Amino acid sequence: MSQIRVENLSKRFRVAERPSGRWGSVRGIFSRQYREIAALDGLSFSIEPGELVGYVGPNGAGKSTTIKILSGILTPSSGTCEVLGLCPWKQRRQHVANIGAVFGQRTQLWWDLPVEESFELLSDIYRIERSRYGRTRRALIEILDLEDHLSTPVRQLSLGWRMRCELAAALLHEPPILFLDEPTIGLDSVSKLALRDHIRRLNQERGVTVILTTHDMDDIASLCSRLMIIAEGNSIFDGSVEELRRSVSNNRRLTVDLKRATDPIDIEGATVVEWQSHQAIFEYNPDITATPELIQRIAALLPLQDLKVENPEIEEIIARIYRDKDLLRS
Amino acid sequence: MRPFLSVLGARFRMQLQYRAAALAGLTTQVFFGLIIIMIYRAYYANATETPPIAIEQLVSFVWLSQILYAMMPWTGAPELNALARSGDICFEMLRPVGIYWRWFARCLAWKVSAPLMRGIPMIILAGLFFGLGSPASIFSGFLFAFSLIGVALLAASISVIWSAVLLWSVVGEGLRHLSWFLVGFFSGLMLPLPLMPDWLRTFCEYLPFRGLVDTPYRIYIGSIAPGESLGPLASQFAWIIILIFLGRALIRLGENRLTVQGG
Amino acid sequence: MNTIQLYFKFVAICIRGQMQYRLSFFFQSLGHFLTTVSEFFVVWILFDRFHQIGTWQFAEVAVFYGLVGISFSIADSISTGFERFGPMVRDGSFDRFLLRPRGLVLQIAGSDFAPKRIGRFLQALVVFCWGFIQLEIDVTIWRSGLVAMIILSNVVLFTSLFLVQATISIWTIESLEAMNSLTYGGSQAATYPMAIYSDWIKKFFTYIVPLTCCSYFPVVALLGRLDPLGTSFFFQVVSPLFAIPFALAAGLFWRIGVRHYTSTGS
Repeated sequence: MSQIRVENLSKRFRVAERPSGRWGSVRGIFSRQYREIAALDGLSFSIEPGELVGYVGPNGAGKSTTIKILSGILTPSSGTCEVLGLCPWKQRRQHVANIGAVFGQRTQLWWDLPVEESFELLSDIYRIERSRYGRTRRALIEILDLEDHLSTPVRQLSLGWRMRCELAAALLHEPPILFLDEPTIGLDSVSKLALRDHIRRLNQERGVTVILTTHDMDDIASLCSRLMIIAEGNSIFDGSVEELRRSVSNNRRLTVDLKRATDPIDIEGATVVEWQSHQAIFEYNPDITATPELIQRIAALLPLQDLKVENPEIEEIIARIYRDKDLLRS
Repeated sequence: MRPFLSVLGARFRMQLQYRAAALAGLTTQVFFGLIIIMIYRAYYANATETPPIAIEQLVSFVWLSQILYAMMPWTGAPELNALARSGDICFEMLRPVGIYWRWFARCLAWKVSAPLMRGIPMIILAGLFFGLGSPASIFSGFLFAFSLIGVALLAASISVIWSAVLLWSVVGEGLRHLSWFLVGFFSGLMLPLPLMPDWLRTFCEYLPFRGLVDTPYRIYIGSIAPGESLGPLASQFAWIIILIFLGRALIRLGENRLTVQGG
Repeated sequence: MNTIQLYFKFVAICIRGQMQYRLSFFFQSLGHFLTTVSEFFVVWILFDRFHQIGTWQFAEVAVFYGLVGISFSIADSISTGFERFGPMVRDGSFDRFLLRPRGLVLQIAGSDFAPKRIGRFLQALVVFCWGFIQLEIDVTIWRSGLVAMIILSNVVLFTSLFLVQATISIWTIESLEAMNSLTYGGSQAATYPMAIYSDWIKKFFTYIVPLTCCSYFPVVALLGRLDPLGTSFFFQVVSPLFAIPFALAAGLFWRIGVRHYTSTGS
């Protein structure tokens, strides 16, 4: 039984048009024009317990809209949605007790209060039983390393530490599902890595289902077993990162460092991407040209110092997909 | 002059966008005006002695106070308050032209444009339906218009002081909370000066705030006859000059304080 | 933790937060106090000159003034959260409340509390007691009950009005000044016996917003005098109950507002 099930979800918004021209403002007193945007258009998917799903898409694709509907904050124009058997917007209070949410730009904590008081308040709000709260709190403080920051007012925390506190706050009531909306935005590298580590541990050790929306592809690469890409209100890809790579482009990059400056030459089974005096970059398809063969050919023809083989960055793949949504259909 | 007009125009166009707000605000002010007038009428109904202001005059007074309500210097201009509070005023100090007059110009533009949006429909409504009378005489009308220039300048000079005082954060914020009482009561807005007991009225006449309400409105309704208006008008302008000097001094003191403290 | 306990916990936090800024709190309270005192001072001056308003004496007006002041300051303090609701809707912080398994009205009411209204509360209390003593009215059990009912019904009424105001802010960015004419305007109007106003005001504040039912008729019964509007004693004592249907209607309107919010997002 799927934990989350979305069927044919659609959402249309009415947006007021700004009046134009010199007399537009006066005309605007008497009438307003509207146009309709479809943020979601027949979206369907399901998620099993314990999955760590990445949810990406270009700006305006409908990511936030989906998350808002799943959390129960937004009602769709049509379609159904079931989270742990409940309808998020119709059974808001029950549903919301089952989920935790961290929105990168907004805070769930009380700005002027020390972190631990925010936690206290949340335990009262979520009606968490005292002893259970004590255990959960201790575990989260340990996993997220928050001990030294508990008595600091939230407004004095750096963004990195604040996000960790937000994560703890979202999990105090031990929800089986966690929505993360751009959690690493604005964080420095150390904090990013730490946060990713924590999310991974929470998913693996405590079995929390995580849905992660992000623009940072390293988040996806390091965390997600499953990736959904949404564009123009519908899902255009749903599978693993490997499948994505393979369906867009199976090509790999071979970078070669040369002992001495050499003029460009052609190598059979590979195309030249870049050639500087001491470095050459080739692109090839490992299904057509076997990697060991290619390396042998290059070693025979060039003064080889060092080489490396890489998959293209997911960032690049995704960017290509955003630019050309038909890329996946081939 | 041209930039001043364009700022005025921009502000006006901005206010046009908020049509519901304009209508709502208009309704509220009309409502408040009607209630206040009803209260006065109830008092006047059983009056045993003749009051110093006739009820028709009082009605006009109340409507004038609603029409020109936005002109009152309740607080400093919001953008200037923000500047003073944040310490971004240091950037202002780098500019060649003096801060005071730039602030003054901004407050003046604000106080002149503010009542236009609601004032005009209210003049029409109050004049047609609710008893706003015409000026006591043509000469009174001219003097009233003249005194309005004074009101704008006075309001601007007070606004600047409210903003300048924020450079001393604690005192400034505190003063902000007292401004409603100071401006509202001593100007004659809460209770027209003639209805006050003598000792209180005399006290208010020595304060700058009466030039905002008492002087212009009473000239209009004829309670201050044209012949008697020289004194109040002179006092209005005297206060403008005093408060301009005070404002300039405060800003200079505030600048010195900032440069010494480091902002 | 149940709803009431949670509300008081929220309030305690608000007060503690404001206490951090002690001087500002002091000045706010001082300014507020001066304003309310001057308002009553104006009433005193006018009575000194005119001796009565309609058929009402100064001490009677003091009773009206005091009761409305007490009720309104309580309602205003409770509803501070509603007054800050507009900006919350604009910047999306309202979503935070939707994500919690608790009533929305509770959370909004608990999001802010302004103890500075205590100035008005104390002053109104003093004025009320003074008026009561001046009129030499006996303090009996049923009178005490009536006073409690008057205060409670007015608090319910004004809080409902603030709730309606907050609901309207879901639809429009623009200022809600029209509602101020009902909340602040209404409370100002009710400080005088509402019999002195013209017919359309009386009708509006009886049939649409039952302000007279809460702050005029029962006070007339309290004062034990004849009503110039000619109502019976029974009606006067029972009329505060009209606050209940009004509160229910306000609650319904609020629900509609929330439904609209969740369908348009932020």
